[in-house]
Amino acid sequence: MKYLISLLVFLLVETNLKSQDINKLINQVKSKLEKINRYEANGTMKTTIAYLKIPIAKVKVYFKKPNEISIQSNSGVTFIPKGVNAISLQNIFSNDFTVIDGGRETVKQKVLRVIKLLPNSSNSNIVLSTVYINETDLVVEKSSTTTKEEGTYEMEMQYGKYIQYGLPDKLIFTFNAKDYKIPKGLTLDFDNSSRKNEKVNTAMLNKGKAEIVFQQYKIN
Amino acid sequence: MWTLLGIELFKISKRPRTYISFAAICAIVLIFQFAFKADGENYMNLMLQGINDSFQLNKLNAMNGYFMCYIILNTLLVQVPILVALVAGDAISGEANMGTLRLILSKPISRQELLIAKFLSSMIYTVILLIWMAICALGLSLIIFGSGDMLVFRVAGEVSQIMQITSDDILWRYLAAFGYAAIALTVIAALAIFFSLFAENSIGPIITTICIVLVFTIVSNMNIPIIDEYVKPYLFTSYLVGWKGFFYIATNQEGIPIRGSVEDIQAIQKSISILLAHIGAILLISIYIFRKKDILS
Amino acid sequence: MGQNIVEVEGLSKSYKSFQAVKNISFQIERGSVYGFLGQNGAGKSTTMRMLLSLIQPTAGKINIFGKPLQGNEKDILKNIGAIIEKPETYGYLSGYDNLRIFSRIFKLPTYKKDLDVLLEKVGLKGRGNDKVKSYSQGMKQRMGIAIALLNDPEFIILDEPTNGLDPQGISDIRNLISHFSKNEGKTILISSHLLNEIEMVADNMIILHKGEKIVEGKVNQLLDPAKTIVQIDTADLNQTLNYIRNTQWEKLLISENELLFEMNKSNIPALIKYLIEKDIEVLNIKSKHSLENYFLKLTNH
Repeated sequence: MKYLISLLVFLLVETNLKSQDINKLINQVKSKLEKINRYEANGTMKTTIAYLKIPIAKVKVYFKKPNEISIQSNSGVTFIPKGVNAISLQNIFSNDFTVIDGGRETVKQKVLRVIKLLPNSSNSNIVLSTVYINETDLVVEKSSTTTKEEGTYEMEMQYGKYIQYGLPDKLIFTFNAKDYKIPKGLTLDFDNSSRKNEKVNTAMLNKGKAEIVFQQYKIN
Repeated sequence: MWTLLGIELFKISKRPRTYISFAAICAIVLIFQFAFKADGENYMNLMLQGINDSFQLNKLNAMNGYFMCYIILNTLLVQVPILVALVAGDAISGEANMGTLRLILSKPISRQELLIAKFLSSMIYTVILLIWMAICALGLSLIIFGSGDMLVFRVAGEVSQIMQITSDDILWRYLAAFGYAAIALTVIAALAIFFSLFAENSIGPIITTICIVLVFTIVSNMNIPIIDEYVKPYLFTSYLVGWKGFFYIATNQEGIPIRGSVEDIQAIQKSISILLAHIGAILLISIYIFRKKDILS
Repeated sequence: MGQNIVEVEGLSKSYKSFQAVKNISFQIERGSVYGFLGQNGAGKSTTMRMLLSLIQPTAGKINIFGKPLQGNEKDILKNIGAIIEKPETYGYLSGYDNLRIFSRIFKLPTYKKDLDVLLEKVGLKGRGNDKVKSYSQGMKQRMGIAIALLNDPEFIILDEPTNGLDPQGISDIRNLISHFSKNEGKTILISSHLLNEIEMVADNMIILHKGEKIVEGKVNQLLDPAKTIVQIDTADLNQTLNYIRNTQWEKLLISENELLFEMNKSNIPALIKYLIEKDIEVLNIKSKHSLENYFLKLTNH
């Protein structure tokens, strides 16, 4: 009996501790991010999606508290994914949410804490966010955000010099895009044989990826 | 030979109809530029259907001089054969009609050289026409719409694609494209000269050439598998749009365009060879016929 | 090369089943004016075009300047000047430009002063800058002649050179031909369907009919004064014919559609006397000694 009580107490304390633990972790990550009022970063963006063949673009990323982010390019023609707002972690953390512990997962040989964030408001565009937090450095290394309108975005962050601000050196952003079809007969194309037998992978057709490498941050 | 070429070029330069083509090209280009300046965004919206929902893009930046030139060439290179036929179709038949063919052939010149001179002069005319087109469609468009990266819209097989070529990687492609167009249009010139051997007025060969180009072009643009396989490879019109091959930029494994590359240089080389073979064959047949021909006009 | 500038042997040209020229042979002496006579379609132009290598013969040999034409076209044509049918030139070019084009073919100087000399020679002085399309028919003809003479040819081929010209123009061309023949020693081949044209300028002639050579010879020999063609107009042709039947005159009759006799000039009074004795009303009598009658006789048969 004593044994049983001890186990129950242990479990209660453990669960409570766990909940306290992840809230604390979230807050630590959040407060790290909240230190930033604004930043401006130069970088390059590599966007890949089946129907776009576009070069790596030079971009400037602007952020302003609480969660305004914009990507601009000087090179004239740049395709910027519309869901790019989601790359701001501040955006994910800005909502009121319920935290659910997802345990630990090993991602790329790193043990990360998986935390699910459920927005409390039904008006939020975000349905569910899952963040993978590096507990040592207190940074989000991976996230997955499911939205009502734009599908699921996934992000992977690699940190370097700006780790103390929770700002990544490299960010890989995966998104869903709409199908693209040019109206027939408009382009009068040259049929070179190389494309004739190309099989269309419809599953991959609308999956896009933007890889942003930040070269220089100007913070606050 | 060079004397005859000089004479032929001199004659072409003195004919009013020569300049109709230059005026026509200028007019068509100006109309295009005006239309796109006024309402180009609608065209862009049409081409970017679906993209707008997923990406932010400054459409006005995309509608720059390089893009305009591509759009203009896309349309104009269908019309230019008519202009080339207008001059080349007149080469022999026009002289037969005027009665000057018997005059010039009763002089100490070889028929073979005369025909080659006429062919070369038509080719030079075509090249000058293309240079004029480059000045109007590229030069003027760059002045009006500015420079920038270029978007190329393409339907490859079943896949629609947008390719972006950086502004520093475009000019050589246009140079190559105009060079290719010169070869492609020379086929039309050779064909028009060939038909002009059989007529005593220039209307017949001009109309015949244009009809052949139009019918072949329509068939070339049909998307029917049996035609794709058994008919298209044998129609020279299937290769007229090969200039676009220079704008189909190759990509690396990640789908990022490789600067200075083309997707399928072999397909372009094959097209050029086929067009050159057409020119050679038509020219040889024409020389054979012309040498044997009785000048009755 | 000998005396003959042109030697043609067994020349024929067929177009499918139609034979335009049938086995023609002739020679043209150096310095002579040679006439081709024939109606339209007789084969004159076809033969001339064959001499200029514009038309390939179906059979036969052409030697010009002692060389076979085939294979030596460029060499031979250097010394020939020709006008074939209407001498069309480039109407959209000026007189000077037309001359320049052909001067360049012959690698001749194209200076204005050289061209002016030529223009003056053919009576087009001061018109060099005008577009040829603004010229009258006669002026175009002269321009054609100027082009034909540009290379100072040894042999000149003129196909119906007076066609469409006014009397003054015809006279000018005649004078030019006689000038080139007599003063410059050129050999000239001229064709016409106007037979007095040939009679006036040619030394030798050939009459072509339906592609065949009918007669060849010296013009003065072909004009035998003993053989005169007499044309008589009477009030009643049939009545006249009835009276002539079975008389010596019937043998001399060469046409019954109109009364045409071939006879010695000295017999004309006897014929008239006979007709008057028969009470035939004679309205008109014409006798001709020209080549035209000769030609008429041959081609009407």
